Amino acid sequence: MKKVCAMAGTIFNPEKPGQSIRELKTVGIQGIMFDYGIFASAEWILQNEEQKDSKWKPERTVEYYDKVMAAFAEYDFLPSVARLPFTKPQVRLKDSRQYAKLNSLILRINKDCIRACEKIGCEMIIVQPLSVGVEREKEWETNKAFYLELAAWCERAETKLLLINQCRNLNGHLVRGICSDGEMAAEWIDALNRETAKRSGTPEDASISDGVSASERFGFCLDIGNCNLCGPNMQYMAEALGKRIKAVILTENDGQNNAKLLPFTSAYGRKSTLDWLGVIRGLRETAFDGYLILETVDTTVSFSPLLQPYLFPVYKALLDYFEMQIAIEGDLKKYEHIVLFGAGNMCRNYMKCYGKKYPPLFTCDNNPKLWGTEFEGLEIKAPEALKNLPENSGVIICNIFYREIEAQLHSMGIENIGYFNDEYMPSFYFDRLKREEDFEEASEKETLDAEEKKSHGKGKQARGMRC
Amino acid sequence: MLKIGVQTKNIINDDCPGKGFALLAQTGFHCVDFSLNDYLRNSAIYQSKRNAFFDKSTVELEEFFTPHKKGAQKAGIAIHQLHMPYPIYVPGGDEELNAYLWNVVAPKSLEICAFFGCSYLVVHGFKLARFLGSEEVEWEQTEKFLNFLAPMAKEMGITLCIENLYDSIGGHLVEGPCCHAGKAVERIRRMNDKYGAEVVGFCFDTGHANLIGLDFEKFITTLGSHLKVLHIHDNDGASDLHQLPFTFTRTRENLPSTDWEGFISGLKKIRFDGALSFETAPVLNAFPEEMKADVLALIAGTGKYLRSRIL
Repeated sequence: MKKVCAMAGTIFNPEKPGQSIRELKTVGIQGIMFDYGIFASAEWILQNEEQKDSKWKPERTVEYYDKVMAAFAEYDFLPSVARLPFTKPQVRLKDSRQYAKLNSLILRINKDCIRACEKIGCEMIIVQPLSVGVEREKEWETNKAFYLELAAWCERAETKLLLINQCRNLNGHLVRGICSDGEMAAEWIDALNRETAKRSGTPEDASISDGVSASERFGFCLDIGNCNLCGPNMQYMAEALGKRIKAVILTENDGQNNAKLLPFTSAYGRKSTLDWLGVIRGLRETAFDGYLILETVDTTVSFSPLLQPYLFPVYKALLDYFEMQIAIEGDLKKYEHIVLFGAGNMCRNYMKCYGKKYPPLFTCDNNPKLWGTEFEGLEIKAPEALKNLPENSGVIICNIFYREIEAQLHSMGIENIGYFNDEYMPSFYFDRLKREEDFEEASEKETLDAEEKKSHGKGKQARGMRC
Repeated sequence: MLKIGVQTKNIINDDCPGKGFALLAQTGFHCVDFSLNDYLRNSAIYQSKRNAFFDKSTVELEEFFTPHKKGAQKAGIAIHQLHMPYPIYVPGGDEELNAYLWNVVAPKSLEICAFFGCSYLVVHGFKLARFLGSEEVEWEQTEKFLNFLAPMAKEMGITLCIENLYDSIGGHLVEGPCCHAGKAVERIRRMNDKYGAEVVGFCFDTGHANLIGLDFEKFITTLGSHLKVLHIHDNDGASDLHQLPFTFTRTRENLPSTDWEGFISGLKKIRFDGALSFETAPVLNAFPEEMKADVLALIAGTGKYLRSRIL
């Protein structure tokens, strides 16, 4: 997976990006998604067309891209994924004839941006579908012509144009818009790829197979934030799109306002209000291996510029975390033999979901009372047993005290260590395992959980009926 | 002609059901959605508690509901649809209660439905996707439940109506069971073919659809003739408030933020001829008791308006 951050919020000043780039590189973030919307807006160009000196002129914005790209090139930080300017779904123009003008302006700006992207070798280009002023019955017809014209404009075979899921603004309520239905979006992409292949003379048998085409000009960028605003089942959406998903925008909001927050921060009742379980299950199912784009501009800029750089290590950790969750089997595939560390709920979940595919030799635990007993078909041994493992064995930590156990393993001279995590399992037990010896330790947590349930229940009541 | 209905909760009193039915007739309703779910509430089920209501024998239940049936008949109000208590399965809940819901409450709900001469029984699908891993596997459990009831439903001439539901992620309401119209149609057809009767249909809930931003028109037209009953109500897009349509706005223009135009257009396109049934019991909680008749007349009036646009 390629892990990048969205530009806004992480690049403090695009004309002088040096400081931001150095800070990003220091924490190990190796790329950004370049956002042309920062420099160009069809809406603003249209509004200022009468003013000769306006900076909102297509030719001026083109000059600006070149200037900014030159600055990025200087720091060897050119983007490989870009997002073209978006038009807000709530745009309303007084004169309905202006919509056609707006959309032809969008086409022109997009062509300019594509040219700029190709110049720097940026291959993944996210292009918003046309929706403003487009009658719902004509959405496909209008967008088909729009995307095919952009495809014809591309000069490099490697350039991919990514459609993206949208919300529709229904008098202030964001509901499902263009490409928010995974099956329909997949149909659009396949139809566009077929048509592009036909026009470029690619043989019929080289066309679509499971959403992957020989002349695959079009793909999809799944915007998790937009999904969260209009509530589709994200697992199903990802599965319906399959390999067509080339990029995923990781962001969070409260389900009502289109904010770009740091994942896991729009929390209530001690849990995120976004269905990350569905997202991760869906992306795992499709074996996603494209761009992970972290977009957090509202969180970032709400911090003082003095504090913003301290967020960057968190961004890096989050991107790594999502990669680990999506490719959770990575550590399990690495070793010929696997031994688990931990004999509780996480071990139980491991055995339920991965035990057959990656059977461990045994598990071990620091609790002497468990040594010599059996759990989930595994013998529980003392950690000492880890000193006599066969060649190419890995110890997979199945316990939330990761760092403590990792230090313990290092002190024993064990180096092949992996993490397992059961927050986003393919399936869950209806209950949690309780052992007598767990009760004492758990009593404090139980009290907290009970308090949480109580406050959560109150919240539910306040938020209306329960279906 | 499209009938206009409302749920019985907060209107029909067990001590004197005839009075409530008379009020409904007087305020402009033709039929009701009988709130059987009010006799074993979801709040209790989620806490693994139950009352003894469904311990009654079928004869006792029929005896209990005879005044309701007579009251409705006297007022000329039809029992168009009935809501089964829900949930029928609580993941991780009391096994005995889960078995009781499945084996006792559900079949008895069908018997009560038949006793009322009602053709549609609304059932909630199981919310298990989180535990079982996918919506498909979740549906398999709901289908098992429907298969359990289907022979009885066929014999009684009742259609079990599955409803679009939501789920909650930290209080944020997102897509739950039966929110994919295409899949619902395929599943309903398959089950009806299997039993050679319309044993399964769909109940479209406008409030639940609004919470998850569904495209009303597309959803309704995809369901087509499989759409049998409606739960009409409104909310702010965040909480399941069960308020009157056209209540919520989000901008200074104060235009409705729920897709009522899509709703009207969808029903018109499929030539829906069932009941415009409102699930708006909380509206009656919000207004003073003294205004009950006026509020009911407003709900019925909203139904008349919708009907005039659909026909």
